[in-house]
Amino acid sequence: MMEENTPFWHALELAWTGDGALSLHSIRLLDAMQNMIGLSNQRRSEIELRFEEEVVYDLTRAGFGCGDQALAAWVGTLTFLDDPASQDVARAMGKSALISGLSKDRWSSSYSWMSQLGLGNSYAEGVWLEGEDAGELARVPALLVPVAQKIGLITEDEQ
Amino acid sequence: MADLDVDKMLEPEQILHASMILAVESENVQDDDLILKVQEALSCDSSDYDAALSHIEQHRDGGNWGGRSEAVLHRSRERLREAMDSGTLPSEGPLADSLNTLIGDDDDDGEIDPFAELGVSSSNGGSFGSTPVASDDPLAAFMDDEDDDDDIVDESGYFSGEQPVNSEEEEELVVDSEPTVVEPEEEIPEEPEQKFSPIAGYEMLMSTCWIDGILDPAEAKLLSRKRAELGITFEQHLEILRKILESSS
Repeated sequence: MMEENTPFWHALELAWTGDGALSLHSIRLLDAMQNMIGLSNQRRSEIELRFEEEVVYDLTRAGFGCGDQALAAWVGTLTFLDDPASQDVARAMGKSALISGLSKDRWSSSYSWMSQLGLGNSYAEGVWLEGEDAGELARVPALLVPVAQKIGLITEDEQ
Repeated sequence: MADLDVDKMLEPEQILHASMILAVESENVQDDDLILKVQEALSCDSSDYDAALSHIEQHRDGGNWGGRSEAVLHRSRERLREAMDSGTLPSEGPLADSLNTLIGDDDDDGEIDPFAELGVSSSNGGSFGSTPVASDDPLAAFMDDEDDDDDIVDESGYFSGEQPVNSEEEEELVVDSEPTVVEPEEEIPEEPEQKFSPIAGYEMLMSTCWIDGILDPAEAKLLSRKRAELGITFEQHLEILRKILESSS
């Protein structure tokens, strides 16, 4: 799984890139997120290590970690995973991605992303037309907006 | 253009195959002797018979032919008619009578064929070749072209060991591709043993999906159908996909 194509990487971006600092609140939110998505310590450390090398080292501190506001809002959307319809939404999103045209890179990154949330298989079924026909995607849940942007399903304006 | 190709490709094995399909589906004809006579008239050997029988057993689906029985029977009748018209099979005599009885089940009998009236009958190998344009749907000729495109994918050797199950175009594929399989058999006996496994065939097919850089619904649908036909699980599909992506990166 590519580290940069994961929800946890996105969470780190939210936490760090607001002002180049990580607040204690953000650390707690990241811990909460790790528990909610069942991310192993090993995997988390791999992602954080890569994030430090790729992003953090180039940041210039300009505050006290204001990114925690955006992170808190996004981590709050993880409750979507408790929704019984979440797998169906993932399937529908897969089908929408297919219809809009999916390159290898977009497939790999979006599948990696969805897999970390436990939605990978349903998403893949939607993309590859496996099993019953997936329904239409009415709207993209807030949790999945970042990946929907990655694959071109929505633009930043449509958020 | 595709029709001319079909005409060229109409080989004795295909005619035998068509007659066997009609015989199997016929309720009124005693066929045991008839098929033997057809086989002799076409100079087909027992391996041709066995190949055709094997295909029929695999894909007959209790007479349903994957939901395309009408189209399969229609195409078989067209081929027998064409064979009789071209002299590949006798057009007179006891064998011709039996064959006419076999063909006679066609629902189209008695109907006026406007294309035949105009001298472009599909059974004469005219402008419309052997495509079933003279039947219910003139658009079928264009659909055949589309089907041929699908066939090209399969005929390229990916599935030489696997015969598709449930559509008319795939029925055609097997019939049309038989000569390409049979001829090398005579020259190189080892050829039939060099079959792709379903997984390998599927992998090759999948690798063509991103040939234009974008996966589209038609490609995904084709792969989905092939998974069902080849008995490939979705988990195997994901594994093959992962391998392909790893090797291409």
